[in-house]
Amino acid sequence: METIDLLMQGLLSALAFDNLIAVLIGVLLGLAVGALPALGPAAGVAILLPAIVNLDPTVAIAGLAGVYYGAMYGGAVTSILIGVPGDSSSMMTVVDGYPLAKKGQAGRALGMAVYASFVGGLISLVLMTFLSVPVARTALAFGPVEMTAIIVLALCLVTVLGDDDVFKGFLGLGFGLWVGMIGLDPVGGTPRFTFNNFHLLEGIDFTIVVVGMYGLGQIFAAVSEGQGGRSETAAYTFKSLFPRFSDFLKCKWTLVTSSLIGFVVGILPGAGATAATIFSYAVAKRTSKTPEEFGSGAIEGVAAPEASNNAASYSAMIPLFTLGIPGSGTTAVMLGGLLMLGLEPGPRLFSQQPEFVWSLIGTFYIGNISLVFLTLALIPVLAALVFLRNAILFPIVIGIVFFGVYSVGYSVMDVMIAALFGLAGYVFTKLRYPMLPILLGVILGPLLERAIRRSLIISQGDLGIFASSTISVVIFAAAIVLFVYGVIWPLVKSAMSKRAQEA
Amino acid sequence: MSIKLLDIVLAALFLVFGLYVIGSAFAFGITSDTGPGSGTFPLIAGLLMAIFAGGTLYRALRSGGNPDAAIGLAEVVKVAGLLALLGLYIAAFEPLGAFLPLPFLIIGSSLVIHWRTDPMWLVQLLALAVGFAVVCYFVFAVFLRVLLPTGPLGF
Repeated sequence: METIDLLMQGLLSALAFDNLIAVLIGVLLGLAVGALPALGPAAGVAILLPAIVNLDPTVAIAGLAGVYYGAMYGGAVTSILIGVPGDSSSMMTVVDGYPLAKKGQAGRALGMAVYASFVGGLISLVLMTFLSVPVARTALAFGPVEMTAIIVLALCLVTVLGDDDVFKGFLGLGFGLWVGMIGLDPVGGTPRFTFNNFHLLEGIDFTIVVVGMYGLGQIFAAVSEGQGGRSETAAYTFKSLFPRFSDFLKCKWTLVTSSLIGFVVGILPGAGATAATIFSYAVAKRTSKTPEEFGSGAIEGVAAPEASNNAASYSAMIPLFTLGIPGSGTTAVMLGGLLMLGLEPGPRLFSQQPEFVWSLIGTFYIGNISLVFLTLALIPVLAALVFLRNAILFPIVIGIVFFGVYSVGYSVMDVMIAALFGLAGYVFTKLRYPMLPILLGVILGPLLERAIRRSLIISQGDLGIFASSTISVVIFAAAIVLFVYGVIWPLVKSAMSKRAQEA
Repeated sequence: MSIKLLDIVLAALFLVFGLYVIGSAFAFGITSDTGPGSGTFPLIAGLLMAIFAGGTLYRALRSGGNPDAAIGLAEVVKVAGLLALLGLYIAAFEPLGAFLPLPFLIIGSSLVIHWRTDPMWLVQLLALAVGFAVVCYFVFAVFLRVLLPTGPLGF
């Protein structure tokens, strides 16, 4: 009953004019960046960051979160209409959505994507409402030692599960940790890797790295591949955007299971919405009566990833708010936003800032409902954005990125650094270096350093403190298992198969 | 340049850089009176980079690689062109103001991305570039009150 009362208060607070406007702006920007092939929700959140600095925390985070879940809706548009995922979490939607569009059923696929996103979001929100507090209460047992373990596990999870090349993942993680260290040492005050440049004494703002690598880097990669023209269009009518009743019946269990998968996977730090879509698609195919249709235009193949990526986008905020651990690139940028606003996400956020938390959850419900109507109404406009020539779209994005980065610290040096990271992002994309470990290294590296040093100050330098709590031992053990599974075991397997071949 | 060669070069650069970070870590000091010193974390980052760059380099050298996978000169020119335009805009940003050189950045970037010089297209591009500069002025300078440098024309 307490939870329902808090939720009702949160919903009432979320209906305040400022919150509604923030949600509206956030979801509109999210829909746009989700639909744009060059930009994902992380870049969208990063672009909005400079604009929220002086706002009320609830208004600011409602806007940022709106970008995130709005992008989950928008990402399906390009996936279905032109076969290009707006971001990685809509990658699986391409598999069946694009074949449906080619069959002239783009509207049916788009309608199902909107409907599945709504159902996935709603199921995840209800679970979030009732489970966030118990998770937060459990999280209260977490001190600097446990936080060290959690961050180490998150970094291992992201690096091992995030992409197929674990070596490049850990290499990128090391690079990200190094970038996060540039500036004054947070404890001793020693300048590190500043190369005698006073601009670097305060370190490199993570927004600059994000916008450079995700925004500019992806544009450079697309331009270098000659994507300057316009894509082929697919036909749809407004009437056909509504899901067919037969599709609803066909997909009802797919929607429920995919939403639950999305919710669970979204909570795991590092797994994120993309992993959730892959799991849910696999389960939907395995449990379908017509698995042979998957890959050539099965409507469940659209429903499963869209329900799960939306469910995951909400549940990913549970570890963010309760533990301060981002599960994806976007929530990592949001973590930076929370810190920028002076909020400390973590176990005490629910007990110390209940009004903020419940108002925010209230805005999520309103955002999820409003997105259904907005997406249906705006699909023609979003589709028009997609069909803009990249020769028009990309220069505009470059201009917006320039002003966004400049706004962070009013320095052209920041823009130059963003351009350098854009170049790095381009090279990393070409060489298939996963971006997420780099980004998390930049953001979580300083937090990890502080947690480790605080722990060791408490123990007066005794490393045994990391084995002093059962929680930390279990989490460290999980990280070690993950490292062995992701790095050592493939090496052993490859050496064994080589020996067998030689024999 | 082939992707394989670029992979080898980047891994080798990371290996050298990782070793440099390890060296710097020792210079910062690995321990202090209260436990770890300023160099402890750089040491971890340097070790991660050096070890995994070594592994990546070893794999890249041993793998056959796709002989057709390469980054062509045209690709490099396009990316370099965009970076050069951004550099020119940055150079003009303080003396000419934020908005006066912006249309040139938009037009230049568009032409680098897709070279097309028919008059109708150029007129459309000019209108778009000027319109975008005006929208940026109202969004960033007026609405968001970002302190942007002003040029000889006062904006």
